[in-house]
Amino acid sequence: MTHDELRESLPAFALGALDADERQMVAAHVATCETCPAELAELERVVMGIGLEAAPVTPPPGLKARVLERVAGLSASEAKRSMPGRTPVPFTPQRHHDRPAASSSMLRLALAASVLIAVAASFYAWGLRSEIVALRQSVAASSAEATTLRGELTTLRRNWVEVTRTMNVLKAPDMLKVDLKGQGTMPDAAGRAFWSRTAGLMFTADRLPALPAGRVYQLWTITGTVATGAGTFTPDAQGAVSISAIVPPGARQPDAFGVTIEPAGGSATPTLPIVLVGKPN
Amino acid sequence: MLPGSSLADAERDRLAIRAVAGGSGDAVAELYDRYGATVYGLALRVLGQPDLAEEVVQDVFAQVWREASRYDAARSTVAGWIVMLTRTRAIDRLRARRARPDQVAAVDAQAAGPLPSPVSTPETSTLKAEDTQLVRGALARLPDQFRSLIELAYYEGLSHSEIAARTGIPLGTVKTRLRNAMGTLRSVLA
Repeated sequence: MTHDELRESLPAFALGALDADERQMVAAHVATCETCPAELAELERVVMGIGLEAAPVTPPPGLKARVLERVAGLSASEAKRSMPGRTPVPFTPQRHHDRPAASSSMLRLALAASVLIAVAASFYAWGLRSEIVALRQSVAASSAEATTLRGELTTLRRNWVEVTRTMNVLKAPDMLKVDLKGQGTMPDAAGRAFWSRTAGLMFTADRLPALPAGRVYQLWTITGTVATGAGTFTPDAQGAVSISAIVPPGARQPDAFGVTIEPAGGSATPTLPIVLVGKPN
Repeated sequence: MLPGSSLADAERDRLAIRAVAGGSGDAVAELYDRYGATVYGLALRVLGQPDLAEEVVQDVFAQVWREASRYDAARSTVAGWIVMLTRTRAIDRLRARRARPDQVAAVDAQAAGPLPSPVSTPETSTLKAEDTQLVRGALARLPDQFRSLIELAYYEGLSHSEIAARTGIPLGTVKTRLRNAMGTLRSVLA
Protein backbone atom coordinates (compact mmCIF):
# COMPACT_ATOMS: atom_id res chain seq x y z
CA MET A 1 0.00 0.00 0.00
CA THR A 2 1.19 3.48 -0.79
CA HIS A 3 1.44 6.27 1.76
CA ASP A 4 -1.68 7.92 0.37
CA GLU A 5 -3.69 4.71 0.56
CA LEU A 6 -2.60 4.17 4.15
CA ARG A 7 -3.39 7.77 4.98
CA GLU A 8 -6.88 7.32 3.57
CA SER A 9 -7.42 4.55 6.08
CA LEU A 10 -6.59 6.76 9.06
CA PRO A 11 -10.22 7.83 9.75
CA ALA A 12 -11.38 4.23 9.86
CA PHE A 13 -8.32 3.33 11.94
CA ALA A 14 -9.19 6.03 14.46
CA LEU A 15 -12.76 4.74 14.58
CA GLY A 16 -11.50 1.20 15.03
CA ALA A 17 -13.38 0.17 11.90
CA LEU A 18 -10.52 -1.47 10.03
CA ASP A 19 -10.37 -5.20 9.64
CA ALA A 20 -7.47 -6.82 11.46
CA ASP A 21 -4.93 -7.13 8.63
CA GLU A 22 -5.46 -3.56 7.42
CA ARG A 23 -5.30 -2.29 11.00
CA GLN A 24 -1.85 -3.82 11.49
CA MET A 25 -0.56 -2.25 8.30
CA VAL A 26 -1.79 1.20 9.25
CA ALA A 27 -0.42 0.90 12.79
CA ALA A 28 2.98 -0.07 11.42
CA HIS A 29 2.91 2.85 8.99
CA VAL A 30 1.88 5.44 11.61
CA ALA A 31 4.78 4.33 13.80
CA THR A 32 7.27 5.38 11.12
CA CYS A 33 5.49 8.12 9.15
CA GLU A 34 6.29 11.78 9.75
CA THR A 35 2.91 13.32 8.99
CA CYS A 36 0.34 10.64 9.75
CA PRO A 37 0.60 10.71 13.59
CA ALA A 38 -0.57 14.36 13.72
CA GLU A 39 -3.47 13.61 11.43
CA LEU A 40 -4.39 10.54 13.45
CA ALA A 41 -4.33 12.59 16.66
CA GLU A 42 -6.85 14.98 15.15
CA LEU A 43 -9.08 12.12 14.03
CA GLU A 44 -8.89 10.66 17.51
CA ARG A 45 -10.19 13.94 18.86
CA VAL A 46 -13.12 13.56 16.49
CA VAL A 47 -13.74 10.03 17.75
CA MET A 48 -13.67 11.20 21.36
CA GLY A 49 -16.12 13.93 20.44
CA ILE A 50 -18.48 11.32 19.00
CA GLY A 51 -18.37 9.43 22.30
CA LEU A 52 -19.27 12.51 24.29
CA GLU A 53 -22.32 12.86 22.10
CA ALA A 54 -24.03 9.93 23.81
CA ALA A 55 -26.49 11.19 26.41
CA PRO A 56 -25.20 10.88 29.99
CA VAL A 57 -27.36 8.64 32.17
CA THR A 58 -27.40 8.84 35.96
CA PRO A 59 -25.82 5.60 37.17
CA PRO A 60 -27.66 3.51 39.78
CA PRO A 61 -27.13 4.89 43.30
CA GLY A 62 -24.98 2.02 44.62
CA LEU A 63 -22.54 2.04 41.72
CA LYS A 64 -20.23 4.77 43.04
CA ALA A 65 -19.65 2.83 46.25
CA ARG A 66 -18.83 -0.33 44.26
CA VAL A 67 -16.41 1.57 42.03
CA LEU A 68 -14.62 3.06 45.02
CA GLU A 69 -14.57 -0.30 46.80
CA ARG A 70 -12.97 -1.91 43.80
CA VAL A 71 -10.36 0.86 43.50
CA ALA A 72 -9.70 0.57 47.23
CA GLY A 73 -9.22 -3.18 46.71
CA LEU A 74 -6.75 -2.49 43.90
CA SER A 75 -4.83 -0.01 46.02
CA ALA A 76 -4.68 -2.51 48.89
CA SER A 77 -3.22 -5.21 46.63
CA GLU A 78 -0.74 -2.70 45.26
CA ALA A 79 0.30 -1.85 48.80
CA LYS A 80 1.00 -5.52 49.44
CA ARG A 81 3.20 -5.63 46.38
CA SER A 82 4.76 -2.35 47.63
CA MET A 83 4.82 -0.73 44.23
CA PRO A 84 7.33 2.08 44.17
CA GLY A 85 6.12 5.63 43.69
CA ARG A 86 2.53 4.80 44.48
CA THR A 87 1.55 5.26 48.08
CA PRO A 88 -2.13 4.49 48.42
CA VAL A 89 -4.06 6.97 50.45
CA PRO A 90 -6.96 5.40 52.33
CA PHE A 91 -10.44 6.61 51.55
CA THR A 92 -11.43 9.22 54.06
CA PRO A 93 -14.83 10.74 53.48
CA GLN A 94 -14.09 13.67 55.82
CA ARG A 95 -11.35 14.77 53.47
CA HIS A 96 -14.06 16.04 51.19
CA HIS A 97 -13.84 19.23 53.25
CA ASP A 98 -10.32 19.81 51.99
CA ARG A 99 -11.45 19.79 48.39
CA PRO A 100 -11.46 22.99 46.37
CA ALA A 101 -14.73 24.89 46.25
CA ALA A 102 -15.46 23.53 42.79
CA SER A 103 -15.61 19.93 43.91
CA SER A 104 -17.55 20.65 47.09
CA SER A 105 -20.14 22.26 44.83
CA MET A 106 -20.05 18.98 42.90
CA LEU A 107 -20.72 17.17 46.14
CA ARG A 108 -23.57 19.53 46.93
CA LEU A 109 -24.93 18.93 43.47
CA ALA A 110 -24.73 15.17 43.95
CA LEU A 111 -26.44 15.53 47.31
CA ALA A 112 -29.11 17.75 45.79
CA ALA A 113 -29.60 15.20 43.03
CA SER A 114 -29.95 12.36 45.53
CA VAL A 115 -32.39 14.42 47.57
CA LEU A 116 -34.36 15.07 44.39
CA ILE A 117 -34.36 11.36 43.60
CA ALA A 118 -35.49 10.55 47.14
CA VAL A 119 -38.24 13.16 46.92
CA ALA A 120 -39.32 11.85 43.53
CA ALA A 121 -39.31 8.29 44.89
CA SER A 122 -41.40 9.28 47.89
CA PHE A 123 -43.84 11.12 45.64
CA TYR A 124 -44.05 8.00 43.56
CA ALA A 125 -44.60 5.86 46.65
CA TRP A 126 -47.18 8.32 47.91
CA GLY A 127 -48.92 8.16 44.56
CA LEU A 128 -48.95 4.36 44.74
CA ARG A 129 -50.27 4.43 48.29
CA SER A 130 -53.15 6.72 47.43
CA GLU A 131 -53.88 4.56 44.41
CA ILE A 132 -54.05 1.52 46.71
CA VAL A 133 -56.34 3.40 49.11
CA ALA A 134 -58.59 4.43 46.22
CA LEU A 135 -58.67 0.85 44.92
CA ARG A 136 -59.50 -0.49 48.38
CA GLN A 137 -62.32 2.01 48.67
CA SER A 138 -63.73 1.09 45.30
CA VAL A 139 -63.42 -2.63 46.13
CA ALA A 140 -65.26 -2.00 49.42
CA ALA A 141 -67.91 0.03 47.59
CA SER A 142 -68.27 -2.67 44.95
CA SER A 143 -68.58 -5.37 47.56
CA ALA A 144 -71.17 -3.33 49.50
CA GLU A 145 -73.07 -2.84 46.26
CA ALA A 146 -72.84 -6.56 45.55
CA THR A 147 -74.26 -7.30 49.00
CA THR A 148 -77.10 -4.86 48.41
CA LEU A 149 -77.82 -6.38 45.02
CA ARG A 150 -77.74 -9.87 46.49
CA GLY A 151 -80.24 -8.73 49.13
CA GLU A 152 -82.47 -7.19 46.49
CA LEU A 153 -82.22 -10.34 44.40
CA THR A 154 -83.24 -12.45 47.40
CA THR A 155 -86.20 -10.16 48.04
CA LEU A 156 -87.18 -10.28 44.38
CA ARG A 157 -86.93 -14.07 44.35
CA ARG A 158 -89.07 -14.24 47.45
CA ASN A 159 -91.56 -11.85 45.87
CA TRP A 160 -91.49 -13.89 42.72
CA VAL A 161 -92.26 -17.07 44.65
CA GLU A 162 -95.07 -15.19 46.38
CA VAL A 163 -96.48 -13.86 43.11
CA THR A 164 -96.21 -17.26 41.48
CA ARG A 165 -97.95 -18.93 44.38
CA THR A 166 -100.68 -16.26 44.32
CA MET A 167 -101.14 -16.70 40.60
CA ASN A 168 -101.32 -20.45 41.01
CA VAL A 169 -103.90 -20.14 43.77
CA LEU A 170 -106.01 -17.66 41.80
CA LYS A 171 -106.10 -19.73 38.62
CA ALA A 172 -106.53 -23.08 40.35
CA PRO A 173 -109.72 -24.88 39.16
CA ASP A 174 -110.60 -25.78 42.77
CA MET A 175 -110.07 -22.24 44.01
CA LEU A 176 -112.28 -21.28 46.95
CA LYS A 177 -112.74 -17.58 47.73
CA VAL A 178 -113.88 -16.54 51.20
CA ASP A 179 -114.48 -12.98 52.45
CA LEU A 180 -113.76 -12.29 56.12
CA LYS A 181 -115.39 -9.56 58.17
CA GLY A 182 -114.10 -7.73 61.22
CA GLN A 183 -115.73 -8.64 64.51
CA GLY A 184 -116.14 -6.86 67.86
CA THR A 185 -113.46 -4.21 68.36
CA MET A 186 -112.39 -4.06 64.71
CA PRO A 187 -115.55 -3.74 62.63
CA ASP A 188 -113.78 -1.94 59.76
CA ALA A 189 -111.29 -4.74 59.19
CA ALA A 190 -111.85 -6.93 56.15
CA GLY A 191 -110.01 -9.87 54.65
CA ARG A 192 -110.17 -12.31 51.78
CA ALA A 193 -108.85 -15.86 51.63
CA PHE A 194 -108.16 -17.89 48.50
CA TRP A 195 -107.82 -21.60 49.08
CA SER A 196 -106.91 -24.41 46.72
CA ARG A 197 -106.14 -27.93 47.83
CA THR A 198 -103.50 -28.23 45.13
CA ALA A 199 -102.12 -24.68 44.82
CA GLY A 200 -102.17 -23.47 48.43
CA LEU A 201 -103.64 -20.71 50.51
CA MET A 202 -103.50 -16.95 50.06
CA PHE A 203 -104.81 -14.35 52.45
CA THR A 204 -105.05 -10.55 52.27
CA ALA A 205 -106.55 -8.13 54.78
CA ASP A 206 -106.98 -4.37 55.23
CA ARG A 207 -107.63 -1.92 58.05
CA LEU A 208 -106.26 -4.20 60.71
CA PRO A 209 -105.43 -2.33 63.95
CA ALA A 210 -101.83 -2.41 65.14
CA LEU A 211 -101.21 -4.85 67.97
CA PRO A 212 -99.31 -4.43 71.24
CA ALA A 213 -95.70 -5.64 71.29
CA GLY A 214 -95.39 -9.40 71.52
CA ARG A 215 -98.73 -10.03 69.83
CA VAL A 216 -99.41 -11.24 66.28
CA TYR A 217 -102.43 -12.11 64.21
CA GLN A 218 -102.87 -15.79 63.33
CA LEU A 219 -104.95 -17.20 60.47
CA TRP A 220 -106.87 -20.44 60.97
CA THR A 221 -108.68 -22.86 58.71
CA ILE A 222 -111.62 -24.41 60.46
CA THR A 223 -112.92 -27.78 59.37
CA GLY A 224 -115.80 -29.09 61.45
CA THR A 225 -114.61 -28.41 65.00
CA VAL A 226 -110.92 -28.54 64.20
CA ALA A 227 -108.94 -25.24 63.76
CA THR A 228 -105.60 -25.53 61.99
CA GLY A 229 -103.01 -22.72 62.10
CA ALA A 230 -102.26 -21.30 58.63
CA GLY A 231 -99.58 -18.75 59.57
CA THR A 232 -99.04 -15.70 61.73
CA PHE A 233 -98.67 -12.15 60.42
CA THR A 234 -98.21 -8.55 61.40
CA PRO A 235 -99.88 -5.93 59.19
CA ASP A 236 -97.98 -2.95 57.84
CA ALA A 237 -98.41 0.63 59.04
CA GLN A 238 -101.57 1.00 56.92
CA GLY A 239 -103.03 -2.14 58.49
CA ALA A 240 -102.66 -4.16 55.30
CA VAL A 241 -101.21 -7.65 54.96
CA SER A 242 -100.79 -10.34 52.35
CA ILE A 243 -99.55 -13.83 53.15
CA SER A 244 -99.51 -17.18 51.51
CA ALA A 245 -99.25 -20.67 52.93
CA ILE A 246 -99.06 -24.24 51.85
CA VAL A 247 -102.10 -26.45 52.20
CA PRO A 248 -101.16 -29.75 53.82
CA PRO A 249 -101.70 -32.76 51.52
CA GLY A 250 -105.02 -34.45 52.02
CA ALA A 251 -106.60 -31.43 53.72
CA ARG A 252 -110.35 -31.15 53.42
CA GLN A 253 -111.95 -27.96 52.18
CA PRO A 254 -112.32 -25.61 55.21
CA ASP A 255 -115.77 -24.76 56.52
CA ALA A 256 -114.58 -21.34 57.70
CA PHE A 257 -111.53 -19.04 58.01
CA GLY A 258 -110.80 -17.12 61.17
CA VAL A 259 -108.18 -14.72 62.55
CA THR A 260 -107.26 -14.45 66.23
CA ILE A 261 -104.69 -12.46 68.24
CA GLU A 262 -101.96 -14.69 69.65
CA PRO A 263 -98.63 -14.39 71.42
CA ALA A 264 -95.60 -13.95 69.08
CA GLY A 265 -94.85 -17.24 67.31
CA GLY A 266 -98.48 -18.26 67.23
CA SER A 267 -100.49 -20.85 69.13
CA ALA A 268 -101.53 -24.46 68.54
CA THR A 269 -105.19 -23.66 69.19
CA PRO A 270 -106.95 -20.32 68.66
CA THR A 271 -107.34 -17.92 71.57
CA LEU A 272 -110.75 -16.33 71.55
CA PRO A 273 -112.17 -13.96 70.52
CA ILE A 274 -112.04 -14.38 66.76
CA VAL A 275 -111.38 -10.90 65.28
CA LEU A 276 -112.08 -11.76 61.61
CA VAL A 277 -114.22 -14.57 60.32
CA GLY A 278 -115.73 -15.75 57.03
CA LYS A 279 -117.40 -18.78 55.46
CA PRO A 280 -117.58 -19.95 51.84
CA ASN A 281 -120.83 -18.94 50.18
CA MET B 1 -20.43 28.01 27.83
CA LEU B 2 -17.36 30.26 27.94
CA PRO B 3 -14.17 28.66 26.67
CA GLY B 4 -12.43 29.86 29.85
CA SER B 5 -14.61 27.77 32.13
CA SER B 6 -13.99 24.77 29.94
CA LEU B 7 -10.25 25.32 30.23
CA ALA B 8 -10.70 25.55 33.99
CA ASP B 9 -12.54 22.23 33.91
CA ALA B 10 -9.78 20.66 31.84
CA GLU B 11 -7.23 21.97 34.32
CA ARG B 12 -9.27 20.65 37.24
CA ASP B 13 -9.46 17.26 35.51
CA ARG B 14 -5.68 17.21 34.99
CA LEU B 15 -5.15 17.94 38.68
CA ALA B 16 -7.54 15.15 39.58
CA ILE B 17 -5.74 12.68 37.30
CA ARG B 18 -2.43 13.68 38.84
CA ALA B 19 -3.93 13.09 42.29
CA VAL B 20 -5.20 9.69 41.17
CA ALA B 21 -1.73 8.86 39.88
CA GLY B 22 -0.45 9.87 43.31
CA GLY B 23 -2.80 7.38 44.93
CA SER B 24 -5.77 9.54 45.92
CA GLY B 25 -9.01 7.60 46.14
CA ASP B 26 -10.86 10.85 46.70
CA ALA B 27 -9.72 12.03 43.28
CA VAL B 28 -11.28 8.90 41.76
CA ALA B 29 -14.51 9.79 43.54
CA GLU B 30 -14.24 13.31 42.15
CA LEU B 31 -13.79 12.02 38.60
CA TYR B 32 -16.67 9.60 39.10
CA ASP B 33 -18.90 12.47 40.18
CA ARG B 34 -17.90 14.36 37.06
CA TYR B 35 -17.92 11.55 34.49
CA GLY B 36 -19.91 8.66 36.00
CA ALA B 37 -23.05 9.58 34.07
CA THR B 38 -21.10 10.06 30.85
CA VAL B 39 -19.39 6.68 31.19
CA TYR B 40 -22.61 4.93 32.19
CA GLY B 41 -24.59 6.63 29.42
CA LEU B 42 -22.09 5.64 26.75
CA ALA B 43 -21.75 2.07 28.05
CA LEU B 44 -25.52 1.76 28.12
CA ARG B 45 -25.79 3.11 24.59
CA VAL B 46 -23.28 0.53 23.37
CA LEU B 47 -24.52 -2.45 25.39
CA GLY B 48 -28.17 -1.64 26.04
CA GLN B 49 -28.00 -3.60 29.29
CA PRO B 50 -27.75 -1.84 32.66
CA ASP B 51 -25.87 -4.67 34.42
CA LEU B 52 -23.19 -4.86 31.73
CA ALA B 53 -22.97 -1.06 31.61
CA GLU B 54 -22.37 -1.02 35.36
CA GLU B 55 -19.53 -3.49 34.95
CA VAL B 56 -18.03 -1.24 32.29
CA VAL B 57 -18.22 1.73 34.66
CA GLN B 58 -16.32 -0.27 37.29
CA ASP B 59 -13.75 -1.43 34.74
CA VAL B 60 -13.20 2.10 33.43
CA PHE B 61 -12.58 3.69 36.82
CA ALA B 62 -10.35 0.79 37.84
CA GLN B 63 -8.38 1.42 34.66
CA VAL B 64 -8.25 5.16 35.36
CA TRP B 65 -6.84 4.26 38.76
CA ARG B 66 -4.23 1.89 37.32
CA GLU B 67 -3.20 3.97 34.32
CA ALA B 68 -3.55 7.56 35.52
CA SER B 69 0.21 8.00 35.32
CA ARG B 70 0.11 7.04 31.64
CA TYR B 71 -2.46 9.68 30.77
CA ASP B 72 -1.00 12.04 28.15
CA ALA B 73 -2.46 15.54 28.31
CA ALA B 74 -0.91 16.39 24.96
CA ARG B 75 -2.94 13.67 23.28
CA SER B 76 -6.43 14.22 24.69
CA THR B 77 -8.44 15.82 27.42
CA VAL B 78 -9.21 13.72 30.49
CA ALA B 79 -12.81 13.58 29.33
CA GLY B 80 -11.74 12.31 25.91
CA TRP B 81 -9.43 9.74 27.48
CA ILE B 82 -12.13 8.44 29.81
CA VAL B 83 -14.59 8.26 26.93
CA MET B 84 -12.07 6.35 24.85
CA LEU B 85 -11.50 3.86 27.68
CA THR B 86 -15.26 3.50 28.08
CA ARG B 87 -15.89 2.85 24.44
CA THR B 88 -13.05 0.33 24.24
CA ARG B 89 -14.31 -1.55 27.32
CA ALA B 90 -17.92 -1.46 26.18
CA ILE B 91 -17.11 -2.69 22.68
CA ASP B 92 -14.96 -5.48 24.18
CA ARG B 93 -17.97 -6.65 26.17
CA LEU B 94 -20.24 -6.28 23.18
CA ARG B 95 -17.93 -8.50 21.13
CA ALA B 96 -17.67 -11.01 23.95
CA ARG B 97 -21.45 -11.12 24.02
CA ARG B 98 -21.65 -11.59 20.26
CA ALA B 99 -19.15 -14.43 20.56
CA ARG B 100 -21.61 -16.34 22.78
CA PRO B 101 -24.58 -16.71 20.46
CA ASP B 102 -26.42 -18.95 22.94
CA GLN B 103 -26.84 -15.94 25.18
CA VAL B 104 -27.71 -13.47 22.49
CA ALA B 105 -31.43 -14.12 22.48
CA ALA B 106 -31.83 -13.55 26.20
CA VAL B 107 -29.54 -10.57 26.11
CA ASP B 108 -31.36 -8.99 23.18
CA ALA B 109 -34.67 -9.46 24.91
CA GLN B 110 -33.32 -7.57 27.90
CA ALA B 111 -31.72 -4.96 25.73
CA ALA B 112 -35.08 -4.23 24.20
CA GLY B 113 -36.31 -2.99 27.58
CA PRO B 114 -36.63 0.70 28.34
CA LEU B 115 -33.44 2.60 29.08
CA PRO B 116 -33.14 5.06 31.95
CA SER B 117 -33.79 8.60 30.86
CA PRO B 118 -30.79 10.81 30.15
CA VAL B 119 -29.77 13.52 32.58
CA SER B 120 -28.11 16.80 31.92
CA THR B 121 -26.04 18.28 34.71
CA PRO B 122 -23.87 21.38 34.56
CA GLU B 123 -20.84 19.05 34.59
CA THR B 124 -21.85 17.09 31.55
CA SER B 125 -22.64 20.23 29.61
CA THR B 126 -19.25 21.60 30.62
CA LEU B 127 -17.40 18.62 29.28
CA LYS B 128 -19.46 18.79 26.13
CA ALA B 129 -18.10 22.23 25.38
CA GLU B 130 -15.61 22.94 22.61
CA ASP B 131 -14.72 19.84 20.57
CA THR B 132 -17.75 17.95 21.66
CA GLN B 133 -20.21 20.63 20.76
CA LEU B 134 -18.55 21.09 17.42
CA VAL B 135 -18.47 17.38 16.70
CA ARG B 136 -22.01 16.90 17.87
CA GLY B 137 -23.29 19.72 15.71
CA ALA B 138 -21.42 18.37 12.71
CA LEU B 139 -22.65 14.82 13.43
CA ALA B 140 -26.23 16.05 13.59
CA ARG B 141 -25.85 17.78 10.23
CA LEU B 142 -24.48 14.68 8.54
CA PRO B 143 -26.92 12.99 6.18
CA ASP B 144 -28.36 9.80 7.67
CA GLN B 145 -26.51 7.43 5.36
CA PHE B 146 -23.22 8.85 6.66
CA ARG B 147 -24.15 9.22 10.31
CA SER B 148 -25.55 5.71 10.56
CA LEU B 149 -22.23 4.28 9.36
CA ILE B 150 -20.31 6.32 11.92
CA GLU B 151 -22.67 5.06 14.61
CA LEU B 152 -22.34 1.44 13.55
CA ALA B 153 -18.56 1.77 13.73
CA TYR B 154 -18.51 3.76 16.95
CA TYR B 155 -21.29 2.23 19.07
CA GLU B 156 -21.20 -1.31 17.75
CA GLY B 157 -17.50 -1.54 17.00
CA LEU B 158 -18.17 -2.92 13.52
CA SER B 159 -15.39 -2.97 10.93
CA HIS B 160 -15.76 -1.90 7.31
CA SER B 161 -16.59 -5.39 6.13
CA GLU B 162 -18.96 -6.04 9.05
CA ILE B 163 -20.81 -2.80 8.27
CA ALA B 164 -21.04 -3.82 4.62
CA ALA B 165 -22.42 -7.22 5.61
CA ARG B 166 -24.86 -5.68 8.08
CA THR B 167 -26.20 -2.95 5.80
CA GLY B 168 -25.84 -4.55 2.38
CA ILE B 169 -23.94 -1.46 1.23
CA PRO B 170 -20.93 -2.36 -0.98
CA LEU B 171 -17.63 -2.42 0.93
CA GLY B 172 -16.07 0.30 -1.22
CA THR B 173 -19.03 2.61 -0.58
CA VAL B 174 -18.84 1.97 3.16
CA LYS B 175 -15.15 2.92 3.15
CA THR B 176 -15.72 6.08 1.11
CA ARG B 177 -18.70 7.23 3.15
CA LEU B 178 -16.94 6.66 6.47
CA ARG B 179 -13.87 8.49 5.27
CA ASN B 180 -15.94 11.43 3.99
CA ALA B 181 -18.01 11.58 7.16
CA MET B 182 -14.91 11.59 9.35
CA GLY B 183 -13.42 14.27 7.10
CA THR B 184 -16.48 16.45 7.60
CA LEU B 185 -16.36 16.04 11.38
CA ARG B 186 -12.65 16.72 11.41
CA SER B 187 -13.03 19.89 9.38
CA VAL B 188 -15.08 21.52 12.15
CA LEU B 189 -12.20 21.05 14.59
CA ALA B 190 -9.61 22.62 12.34
